[in-house]
Amino acid sequence: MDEMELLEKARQLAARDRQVRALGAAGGALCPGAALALFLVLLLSLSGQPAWQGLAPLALLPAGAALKEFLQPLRLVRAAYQADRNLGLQERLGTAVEWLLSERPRSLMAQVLLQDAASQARLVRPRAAFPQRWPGGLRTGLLLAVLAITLAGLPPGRLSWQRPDAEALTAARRQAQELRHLLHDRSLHLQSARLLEFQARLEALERSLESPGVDAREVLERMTALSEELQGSPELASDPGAAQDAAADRQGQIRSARQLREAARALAEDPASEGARSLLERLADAPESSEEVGGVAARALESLRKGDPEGAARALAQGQGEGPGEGREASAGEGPTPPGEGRQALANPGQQVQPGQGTGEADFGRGTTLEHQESAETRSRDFVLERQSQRTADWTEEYRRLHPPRRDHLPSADARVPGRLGEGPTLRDSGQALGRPRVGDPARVQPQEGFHQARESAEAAVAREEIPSTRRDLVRDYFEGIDPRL
Amino acid sequence: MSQPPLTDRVRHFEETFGRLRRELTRVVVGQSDLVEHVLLALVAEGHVLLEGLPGLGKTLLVRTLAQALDLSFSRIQFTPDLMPADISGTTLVEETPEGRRTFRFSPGPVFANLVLADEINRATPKTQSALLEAMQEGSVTIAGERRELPRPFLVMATQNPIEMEGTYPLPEAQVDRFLFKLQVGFPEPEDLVGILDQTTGNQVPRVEAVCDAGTLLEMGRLAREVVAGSAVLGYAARLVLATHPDRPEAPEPIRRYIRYGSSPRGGQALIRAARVRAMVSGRYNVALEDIQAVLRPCLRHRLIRSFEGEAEGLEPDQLLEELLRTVPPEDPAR
Repeated sequence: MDEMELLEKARQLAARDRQVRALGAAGGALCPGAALALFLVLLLSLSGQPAWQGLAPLALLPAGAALKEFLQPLRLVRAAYQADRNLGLQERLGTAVEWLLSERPRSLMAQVLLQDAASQARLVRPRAAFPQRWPGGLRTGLLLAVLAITLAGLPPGRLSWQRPDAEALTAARRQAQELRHLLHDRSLHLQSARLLEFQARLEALERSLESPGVDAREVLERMTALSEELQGSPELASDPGAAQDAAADRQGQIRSARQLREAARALAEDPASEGARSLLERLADAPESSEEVGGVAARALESLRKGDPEGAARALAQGQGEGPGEGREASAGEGPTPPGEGRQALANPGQQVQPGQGTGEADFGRGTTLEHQESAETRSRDFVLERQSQRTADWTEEYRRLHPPRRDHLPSADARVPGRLGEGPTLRDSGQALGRPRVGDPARVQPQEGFHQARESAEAAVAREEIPSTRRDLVRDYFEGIDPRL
Repeated sequence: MSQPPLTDRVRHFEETFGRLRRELTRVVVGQSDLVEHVLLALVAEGHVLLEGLPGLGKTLLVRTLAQALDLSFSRIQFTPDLMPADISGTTLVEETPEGRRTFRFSPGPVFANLVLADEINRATPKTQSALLEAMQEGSVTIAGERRELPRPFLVMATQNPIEMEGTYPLPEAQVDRFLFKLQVGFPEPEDLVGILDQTTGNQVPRVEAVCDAGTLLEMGRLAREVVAGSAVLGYAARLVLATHPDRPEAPEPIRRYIRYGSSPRGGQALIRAARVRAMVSGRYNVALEDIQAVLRPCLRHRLIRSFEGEAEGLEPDQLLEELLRTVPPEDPAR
C-alpha cells in the first residue's frame, strides 16, 4: 500500500515537474520570440506589408518550447529527487522511488525506507514541491511582446520608409478635390443614398491619402475608378433625362462605328459584298448615326455605286479614325481638357499634357483659362477660382519644369523650343533670310548688321505672338545683353 | 535468536552513538567535530590519521575512546629506532621444564582492538609499512604465518605537522589506507578555559564503558545496510573524479594545484562514512549532505599537491571547498 501511494505521489510530482518545466521553457522562449517578432513587425511595417504576420514567432517559439517539454516522458525518479531537494527531504523520496522501480532485492533497511518515504510523501504537495519559477528574461519578453503587438496594430504604412510618389499624391489630391466639387455640385440637385455612398468612399480615399506609407498611385487609380463610376451613373447626373439621352446617343454612335468597321472588313474580303453594301445603306439612312458616320457611309456607298471599291475602302478607312469612342483614345492636348475628364490624364498623372503634341490648339495657358472654366456648366465658381490661382501662380517655374531647355543637334547654333510653331517667322527663317552660313564658312554680314536684324525680327515676333510678358522681358534683356554698342 | 525490529536496532544505534559522544566530549573539551568524525570512523571500521600540534589532546582522545568502548587498547610510540617486530610481535624460543625448546609467538601491540600509533611519522618507512597489511587486511603475517587481528581493529595514528626534521612522511599508499585524516585544531577560548579548569585539579572525569566490541560491530553492520541512491552514489563519484586534474569536470584550481587526485578508495570512504552519518541522523538512506559533510576528512589526505600547489601553500581543504562549490549535486546528464 505504501509503495502504491509512493508511486502515485511520484507520478504527481513528475507531472507537476513537467508542467513547471514547460511553462518555464515557454517563458524562457518568450524573450527571443518577442524580439524576433518585434524585428519582423518592424521589417514588415517599414516595407509597407501587413505587420501582424510578424507576430508569428511570438506564439510559435514559446509554444514550441513548451511542447518540447510536454512531449518528454514522466521521469519519476528525477522528479522525486528534485522534490527532495526543494523540500529538504534529504533524498528520502528519490532513493525510495528509485529502489521501488529497480530490481534490487528488498533489504530490511530498504523496506523501512519505503515506509518512511511513503509517510513523508503523504505530506508533500506537488505545487509546493515544484513552485512555478519564471525565467529572468520574462519581464523583458513581455515588454517586447507588448511593443510588437502595439506596432503590429498600427495602421498599415504608418512606419513605412517608402515615401509616397509625390506626383501621384499631388494628382490624387487634385483628383479628390475635383471629385469633391463634382459630388457637391450633384448634391445641389439630387439627394440619394448612392450619392452619400460615393461621398463616403471619397472621404475614405482622402483619409488614406494622409497615411505616411500610402500607395498614392493605387489611391489615384481607385479615385479614377470612382470618378468613372460616378460619371457613368445616370441616376446621379445633374439632369437624369439628359444623361440618359447622352448615354443612349453614345451607345448608338458606338454601334454605328462598329457597323462601319464591319462593312470595311466585308469590303476588304469581298469588294462586291452585298452585305457591306446593305450595311452602308442602313448606316447612311439611320437617324441614330452621327453626322460623320453617316457621311462616311454615304461616301463609301457612292464609290461603290460608281464601281470603285477601293475608293469606298479609302473612305471607310478615313472614317474609322473619326468615330467617337471606338477610334483612337482622345489624347490630352487635343483641345480644352476639363479637369477630371480624359482617361489619359487620369491614368498617367505624372505625364503632363504637352503643348503642341496634339493636333488641336496647344494647352499652353489656354486649356484651363477662365473662359473655358466658366463655360463648363458643371464647374462651380469656387473651383474655377482655385484652379486658376493654382495654374497661374508661377508660370516661369512651371514652364521650365515642363519644357527643360535643350539644344537640338542641328548644324547651327539655333536654340529651339519644342512646340507648335507660331504664325510669324521662326529663327530658322530669319537665318535663311540672313543667308545663314554653313558650318565653317566665313560670315557674310557684319555682326552689327546681323544683330540689328535679329533684334528687330525678335521684337516683331514678340509683339506679334502671344507670349507672356515675362518672356518678352527675357528676349529684350537678351538682346540688350549682346548689343555690341554697349 | 531472532533479531529485534529494525527500527529498534536503529534506535539502539542512535542511543549508543549518542552515549559515546557524550562520554568523549566530557573528557575532550571543545573538539565536538573531531569527536564526531572519530566516532564515524569507528563505526565505519576505518582508520584515522590525527594531525595536530602537540598538546591538543590527540592521545587523550584515543585513550578516552578506548576506555569508553571497553576494547583492548595499545599504544605504540613511534621512534626512528622502532622495528617492525616491535609492532607486529615476534616468535620467541622458550624452553619447557622438560628441557624441550619450543617457539612461542609473542604478539605485538598491533594485536588490539584500538591501536594508537603516536607520532607515526617518526618511524622509518620499513616500520611504517608493517602497519600496511594490518590496516588493510586486518591480519599480520609473521614467520610465514598469517595471524588475524581482533575485530574491530582500528588504528588511530597521530602526527605532528611541524618538526619535520628527522621524520619520515607517510607514503601515499599508507596514507590512502586511512579512512579519515582529521586535523586537530586549537580550542576556542571558552573551550580552553574548560580544559584548564578540568585538567588541572584533582578530579579527573571518569569515563564509563558504554559499548563493547560486539555492539560496535553490530552498529557497523547496520550502517552498511543504509540505502544509497544512484543520485548520491553519482555525486560521490563525480566529486572523486573532479579531484583528478586531467578530468574535464575538474575545476580550474584542481587542474592547477593538484598532481594526483583521489583513488577509488576515497569514494568508498565517502560512502562508508556517509552511511554511518545517515544512520546517526536517524535516516535509512544516504543524503547528499552526508557526502558533503564527510568530504574533507575523507579526501584531504588523498590529494597530492603539485609543486605549484605546495609553493602557494594551498591547503587541500581549500580545494575541496572549491570542489563542493563547482560540482553540482544533481547529475547534469539526468
